[in-house]
Amino acid sequence: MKNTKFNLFIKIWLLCTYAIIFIPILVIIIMSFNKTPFGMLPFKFTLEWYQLLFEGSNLFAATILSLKLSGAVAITSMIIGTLTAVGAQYVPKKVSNLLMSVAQLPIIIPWLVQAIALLLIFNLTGLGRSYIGMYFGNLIVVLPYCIMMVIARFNEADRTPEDAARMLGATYPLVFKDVIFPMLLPGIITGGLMSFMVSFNAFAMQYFLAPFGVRTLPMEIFTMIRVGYKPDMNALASIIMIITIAFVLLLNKLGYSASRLMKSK
Amino acid sequence: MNNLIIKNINKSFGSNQVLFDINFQVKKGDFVSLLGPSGCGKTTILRIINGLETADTGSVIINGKDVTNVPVEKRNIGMVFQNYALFPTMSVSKNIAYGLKIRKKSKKEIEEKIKWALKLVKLEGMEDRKTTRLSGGQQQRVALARALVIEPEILLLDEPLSALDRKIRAEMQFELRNIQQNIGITTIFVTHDQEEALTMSDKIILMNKGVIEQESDPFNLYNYPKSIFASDFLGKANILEGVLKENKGEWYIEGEGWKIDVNYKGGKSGDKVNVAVRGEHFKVENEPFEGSLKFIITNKIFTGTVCKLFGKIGEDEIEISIMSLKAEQYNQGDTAYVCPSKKTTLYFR
Repeated sequence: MKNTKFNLFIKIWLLCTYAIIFIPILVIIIMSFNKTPFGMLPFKFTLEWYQLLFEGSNLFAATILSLKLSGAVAITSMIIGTLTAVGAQYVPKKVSNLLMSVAQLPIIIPWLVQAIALLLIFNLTGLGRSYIGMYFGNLIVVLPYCIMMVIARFNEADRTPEDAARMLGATYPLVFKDVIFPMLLPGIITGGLMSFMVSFNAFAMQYFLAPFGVRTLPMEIFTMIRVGYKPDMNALASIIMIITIAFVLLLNKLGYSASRLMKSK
Repeated sequence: MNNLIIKNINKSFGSNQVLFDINFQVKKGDFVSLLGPSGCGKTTILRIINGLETADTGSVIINGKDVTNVPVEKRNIGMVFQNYALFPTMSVSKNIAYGLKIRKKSKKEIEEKIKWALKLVKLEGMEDRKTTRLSGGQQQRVALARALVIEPEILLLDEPLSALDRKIRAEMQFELRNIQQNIGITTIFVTHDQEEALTMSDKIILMNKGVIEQESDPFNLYNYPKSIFASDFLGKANILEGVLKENKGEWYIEGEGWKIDVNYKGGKSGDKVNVAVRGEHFKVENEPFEGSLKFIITNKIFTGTVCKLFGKIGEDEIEISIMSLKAEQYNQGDTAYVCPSKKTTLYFR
């Protein structure tokens, strides 16, 4: 058949695409177990770098700071995002559509611009570089994810159970607790997890807004890269990778595969 | 005693008026269908009765109490939704118990009521099932049980059977009617399916474009419709244009190449009228008989119990239904002699 050749070509193309994405990740995991610090062969197994990471490296402290920051940001964004999405249900459709497109702007506007603008404002108000400023900066860029995830739940879920609950005698607070909140929960959790990941990665925001002398993980890595680094970073990268994969699996389990996320946007 | 009174209801959405001065009353224990094509306003009436929608004018009176301004959650009305609207995160028994918990009933009473309701809808032993694991018919039963345990003043059904397949729908029609009669609850049933309305109702309120066309029991609505819309919506009717005429006290309608006798129901000789005859109200013979019309068969369609014969009387096309076995003798191109039954032949100006 004529198509077989073309099919084979497509398959190879697909394989190459995936290879380009995943080979570097695979290499970094392998290198985290390699004895030589220069990323060279032959491969000799060691756990030395993992040990260094937990005992003698700056990376560990920076990681904890990043986790704390992202955790706080994710929780706040879940709360504010949910409330925003709920509120948008009770204003006229035109208004809510406008509000929602404005709410998505922080994703589109380059973070660099936003970070500089925020720094400018914080300096003007006398706050300057601070933990609280960094927290707000991160929050701003992740909020849209939470809002969108919760709105998506509203749009795709069957809304009649709310009417049913009211007809059975439930007042609005009860309807919210028993029907609306359980319905939104998968969206809220997904939004939270995405917020966490995005915030964990938000180098520009952190670089511009962090207090002097304080370094989150992305900043720490950035600094290390410039002066040369040890493979303890590979070890850390591997750990982050494993946790991220676990996240993705969790999201999938909640019914939010990549294709669904694309659709709901 | 009247259980539900609807008085002078008008309702518009923006500039689009969907209900025009709706008035009707429902007797206690009656099963009343609101029947009409989609967009006729029947669901809006239902939503005004249950309070999810507010009318622009008029009032809703339930058991002598004006509830027009009472919020949804205080009306104590049971409702079964088209898509069931079960709470997906709750089990069957939790769904049913929901209204009772809000009413702060004791644990014991709730348990007893759940048992009673599950028995009523024949779902014994399903208490702990997830509702998402149930079939459409079973979900419908849970929804019905949930609506009935709160002992509502009236029960509203919003096209509850439309999502079920044909066989289960027939079963549910029968069972719904049974349950309704057993507990004697006043029920308003919204449907666009005329067969459903005819088989289940004590009374049918036929609606079209926001007004009530006719309000009657199923038999009379079907056999003696008061308008062209009514005769055409409830089962297909042949509607022919003609002129009303009189000859020695006998009235008939004359069209292009045909003449049909009618019982006089107003109008004067020479009036232009539409005559409506149902396909199954024709007498069909092989030979001419008194008052018969020549019918040239142009097509024949077998539908199961009955056969449809399409053909011409004079210049007009009509459709006649006869029992399939009798139709065996007729083929395309044949000529038969037909006469509509005078009693059920109606004309409208």
